[in-house]
Amino acid sequence: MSAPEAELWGLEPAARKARVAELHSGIVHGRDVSGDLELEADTLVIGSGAGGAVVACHLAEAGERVVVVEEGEHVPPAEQAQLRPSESLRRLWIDAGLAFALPLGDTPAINVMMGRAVGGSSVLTGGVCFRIPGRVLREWSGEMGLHDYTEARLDAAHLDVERAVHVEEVPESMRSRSTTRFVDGARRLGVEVHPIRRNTVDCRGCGRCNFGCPEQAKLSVDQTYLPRALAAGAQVLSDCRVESLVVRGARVDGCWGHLLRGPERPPGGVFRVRARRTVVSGGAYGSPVLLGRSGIGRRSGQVGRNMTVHPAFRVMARFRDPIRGWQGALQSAYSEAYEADNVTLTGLFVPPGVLAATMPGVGREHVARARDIPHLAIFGGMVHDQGGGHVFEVFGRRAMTYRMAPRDKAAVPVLMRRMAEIFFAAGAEEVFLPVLGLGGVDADRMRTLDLERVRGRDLESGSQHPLGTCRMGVDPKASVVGPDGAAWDVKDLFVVDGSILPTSLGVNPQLSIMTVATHLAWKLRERRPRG
Amino acid sequence: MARLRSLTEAIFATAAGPPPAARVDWVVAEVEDVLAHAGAQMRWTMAAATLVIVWIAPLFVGRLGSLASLPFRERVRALAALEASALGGPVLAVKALLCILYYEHPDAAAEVGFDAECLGLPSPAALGPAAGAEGVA
Ligand SMILES: Cc1cc2nc3c(=O)[nH]c(=O)nc-3n(C[C@H](O)[C@H](O)[C@H](O)COP(=O)(O)OP(=O)(O)OC[C@H]3O[C@@H](n4cnc5c(N)ncnc54)[C@H](O)[C@@H]3O)c2cc1C
Ligand code: SF4
Repeated sequence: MSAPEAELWGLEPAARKARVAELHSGIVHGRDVSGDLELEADTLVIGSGAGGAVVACHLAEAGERVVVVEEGEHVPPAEQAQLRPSESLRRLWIDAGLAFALPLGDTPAINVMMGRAVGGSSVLTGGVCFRIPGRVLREWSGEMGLHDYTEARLDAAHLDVERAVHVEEVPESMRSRSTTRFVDGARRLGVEVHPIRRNTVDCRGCGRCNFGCPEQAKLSVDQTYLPRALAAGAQVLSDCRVESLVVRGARVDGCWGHLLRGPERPPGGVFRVRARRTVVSGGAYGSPVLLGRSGIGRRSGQVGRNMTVHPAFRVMARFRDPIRGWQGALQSAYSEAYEADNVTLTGLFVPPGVLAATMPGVGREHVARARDIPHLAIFGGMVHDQGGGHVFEVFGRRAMTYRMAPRDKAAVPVLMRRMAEIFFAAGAEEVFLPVLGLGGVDADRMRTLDLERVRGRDLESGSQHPLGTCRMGVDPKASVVGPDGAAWDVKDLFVVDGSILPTSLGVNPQLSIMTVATHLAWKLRERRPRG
Repeated sequence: MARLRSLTEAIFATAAGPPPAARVDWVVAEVEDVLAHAGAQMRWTMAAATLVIVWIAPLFVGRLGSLASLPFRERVRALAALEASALGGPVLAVKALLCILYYEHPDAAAEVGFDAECLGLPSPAALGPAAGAEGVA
């Protein structure tokens, strides 16, 4: 591997963009392939997101013949930059960003957002990067017996990823006024807030990270690991939906699927990849369905279960003076002050339509409220949840349910109250809590609200972090893959993505997933495929 | 189509009346396109929510029949009453999707003071000759 490939981000912006474009031109678009397709590989990687891209890169750089098949489109960065948010939803997000986990029990209907594109969800992140927290690793390596997963043993992999995607701290100068207000309020109350680290280079703080970075400043895997994989000879195919793994006797021998032709047209030809080793990296929504369809994982009954999502809740605040929160880095500060309550707070911003959607009223009342958009600040909180989600297939369609644990439900009022207090300390005139139909709440009314009694179904919640549906463990009866990512039920099959994380993290997961993927890819590299 | 149109006109109405017809057309077409990309679950949910709103909202102002059959101001009143009630869920769901698209229209974004340069909002010219046309105020 030549140095420029490993550290593309070190190039001048124009040279970097040109090199990435040159390498991206090697991506084969399944929709342009006429007829059927047959390929062979040492390692087949299904899914090109945070997990899949990392594995593909390391194995291709080790000299293996790697094929990556991705269901989503390849939308080149220059084209992404032209998309309106809702166009991005249509082209790059699963179900146009409108997938919901059906609530069971006292649970909100959670809008679970995920990517479906070359680069997977990585393309849609705010760039936030956290290492796997020490307390989480202690649980994995201690109680769960995953001895390789300690801070010390993962340090090299953490460092490798941080270098590859250029993790840097967001300077205070790049903070939006929305975040600055929150930080001011937090300081007044003595609540600690820290700068966030992000995978960016030359970021100019335009705040559209979730819809594709127009500057290619966000170093998602399509800007880093996938170009490296391509440079090392990997074949990357978009618009290829894997329908099933091919199981022969006790081993997996690759996959077959359909070449997609876009949402309005039926699938085209069939593709088949024969591989000595198959790595499933379809994400927490895609991987369990693929395993289930292929009849894998029935023994443990764990496939698709144990989904955690980090249920997230936004609190907005209206200030007298303009905030214009869309100016500045999308996410730049966070607080772990409420970790004991299983809550992490992080800055964010959302497009005006999403802000307006939360405004009560219809007609004149709504329009008057919508004119407050430039005066709104916003901050988010997520719950380090215990899980209770399930991904499955019904009548050939993917679906998910989520039952919120009582402990997690109890964290929601804490989160809302703390964020509201911080905003009021910063001078907010009213706050908008994520309670459907509640409307604006001033400081006096806030004190009287009985938030503990708000029913789950009245809460507005989103998630960008589904995890754990093919969890890793040491007991084949209670997990889908072992500590090395190998499926318990069949040979030559590995799962490497967010679905194998055995618990939620309490922090944004991309860096954790890439670190685990690096750790496993290094192991796979030593264990050349059979045959 | 007609149901979505009547909801869009009411939700985004100002003192002068509904938003410009071309803008409403654009939003309705966009909603349909988004739903074509969304999963069956969401398409079904939206269709059901719209149906419920159209037939239930008039009851909140003591009228029978569909929402579209009410005089414009009554329509707004009926929707507002339904939204504020314990049955407001469907209004909130449909309004959320409509808002996401409505405020992507450059004129609507400008009206609420949203001027982010890099969110890719199209220029009125890019939306075609009718986009900036006057509505039916
Ligand atoms: C809007 C948004 C913002 C986020 N922001 C952050 C952030 O700031 N920081 C952070 O740490 N994390 C963030 N995340 C989460 C992070 O992006 C994900 O946790 C991570 O990318 C998951 O990696 P993965 O490999 O498990 O799956 P993904 O990255 O989702 O990749 C899975 C890929 O597999 C493909 N696939 C699935 N099934 C098949 C099949 N049958 N055939 C072919 N291909 C298939 C999918 O199309 C997809 O492209 C965000 C996520 C979203 C959606
Ligand atoms: S703030 Fe703008 S330039 Fe920076 S990473 Fe996000 S989208 Fe790219």
